[in-house]
Amino acid sequence: MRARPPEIAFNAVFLNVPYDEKFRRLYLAYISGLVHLGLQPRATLEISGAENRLDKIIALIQSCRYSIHDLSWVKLDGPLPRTPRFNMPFELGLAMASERVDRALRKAFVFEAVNRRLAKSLSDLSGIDPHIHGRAMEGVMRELGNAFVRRVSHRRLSVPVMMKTYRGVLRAIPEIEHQTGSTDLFRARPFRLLCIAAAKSATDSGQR
Amino acid sequence: MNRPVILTTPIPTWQEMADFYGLSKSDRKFVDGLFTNNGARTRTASAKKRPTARTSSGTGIKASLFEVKRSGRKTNGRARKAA
Repeated sequence: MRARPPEIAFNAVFLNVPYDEKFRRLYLAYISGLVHLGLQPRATLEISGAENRLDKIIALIQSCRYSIHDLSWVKLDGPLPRTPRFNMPFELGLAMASERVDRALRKAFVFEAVNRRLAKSLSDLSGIDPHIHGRAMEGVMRELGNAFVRRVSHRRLSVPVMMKTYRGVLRAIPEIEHQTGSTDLFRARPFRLLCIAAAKSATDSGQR
Repeated sequence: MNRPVILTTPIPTWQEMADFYGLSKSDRKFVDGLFTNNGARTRTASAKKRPTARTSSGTGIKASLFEVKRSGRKTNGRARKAA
């Protein structure tokens, strides 16, 4: 019997990005930018345990109305045997399949760093224009603003104001690391604290 | 074509976000205190413990800074003459 799909959270965004220290700044930019727009990021790093992991990932994707897939990490990792990371394109496939099978109100966005590279790396997506961030935090903010529009003041959606939220999150990191006892921000608890710190940063600086 | 999504749902407060993520009581308390102490916790523990010295003008300056300056003068002045 097919399990019932989970209820969709209308502000939730499935964030599909590489979990790598070298991607940390952009990871924080995605969290800050999405929260600044009033969205709630979700990620597979919230999933604990290896048991039924794939089912949990699918359930998480199905519970989010939107998904963002960053396919800019097109390279081999360091430790031997050197391999590319297939998780991001795989989860993009799951999200695209969910979008089509359930016919639910879902939308997936593809982000890339380099223009026209996606046509080469994933030609099945021809016809979908990726959002090009150019590996810059401001680029991530700009493209999030192009993907999501909110009927609020234009000032709120300006990249400099979004960057203020990002800087607030940066300021909170030493305290989050202290609170969680870990410098690894790619874990469930730091991720949640970063999201809420971003919400507080946006609120405290009078941007809401 | 990439059409932007127009968001119509209300912007959640950080407390609503905390409910959404199922934040524990201690983490909620922690977030409540964020950005309220002007970054005092980001200073090093030694910097916090460092005592301030009173000057004749009544303004406090860091004792360690004062000591560094005074010892510098000693080395350059009296100490060198004595040698």
